[in-house]
Amino acid sequence: MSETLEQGLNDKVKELIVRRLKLTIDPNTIKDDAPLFGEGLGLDSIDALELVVGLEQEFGVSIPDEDVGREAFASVNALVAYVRKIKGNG
Amino acid sequence: MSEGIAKMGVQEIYKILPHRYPFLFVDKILDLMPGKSGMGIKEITYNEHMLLSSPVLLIEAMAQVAGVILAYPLLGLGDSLGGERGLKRGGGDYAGYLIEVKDIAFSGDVSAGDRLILNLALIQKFGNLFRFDGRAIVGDKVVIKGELSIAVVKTAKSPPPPDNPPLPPFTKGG
Repeated sequence: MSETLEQGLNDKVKELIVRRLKLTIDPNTIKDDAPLFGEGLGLDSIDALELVVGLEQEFGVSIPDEDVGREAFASVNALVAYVRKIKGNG
Repeated sequence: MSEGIAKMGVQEIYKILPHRYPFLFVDKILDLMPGKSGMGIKEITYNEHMLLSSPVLLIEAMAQVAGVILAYPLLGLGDSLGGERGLKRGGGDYAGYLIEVKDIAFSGDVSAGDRLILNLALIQKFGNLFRFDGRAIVGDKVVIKGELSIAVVKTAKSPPPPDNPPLPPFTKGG
C-alpha cells in the first residue's frame, strides 16, 4: 500500500474517532503513534464501545473481544493496521 | 438451536430485576431472545405521572428490558424458564448499570391508558459493555428512541429475595 493511501486511511480513522466520540479537536492533531487510551487521547471504555460500533458500521470491521481491542486501540497506526488486516490489505 | 421465550410475567421479572413498585416499569416481556432482543410491555396508569412528564423514566423502562435480555445468558438460564430457576434478586451475582444514552429523540406523546411497547435489540457487545437500540412505541407512533449502553459487573452475593415477592396492593373503589 502506498504511503499516500496509508495516510488516507489514517486520516479516515482519525476523522471517525473525532466524529463518533464528539471530540472538540482537529483530527490532524492526533498523533499516529500516540496511545488512544490512558495518557494519550484519554479515552475510556465507553469510548471504546463507541469506536467498536463505529468500526463495524462504517468500515465493516468487527472487534470481537477486549484482547483484540487492546491491541487494535493501542494507537491510530495500530488501528489502521488492524483494519487493513481484516479487510485483507495487510 | 436457540429459541426465544414467548412470554414472561411480572413474577418472573421480579426474579431477575431488583426493581420494585413504583420503580419497576415493565409489566411483562414478550418475544425474548436471550442476549439479543426483547419486547417489554408497560401499561401506563393515571397515577404514574412521573412516566408521563419526563423522558428520563421512559429511558429507564427501556434499560430495564435490556437488563432482562442480558440476565439470561449471564445467569446461565439457557432459553427457558423451565427446570432449575436459580434466579436471585438483581440477577444473582451480576448487576447491570445504565452508563450511557445516545441520540435520544422524544416526542412526548404518552398518556394514561397507553400501552407502551419497549423494543430493545442488541447492537454491539464489547467486553462487559452492551449497546442497545431502544424504541418505545404507543400505537403506531415511536414516542422515544435512542441507543442505551449497559455495563454488567460481577457483584458480591446479594441476599435471596422472598420466595413470593408481594405484588403492589390493590385498592378497592379507587
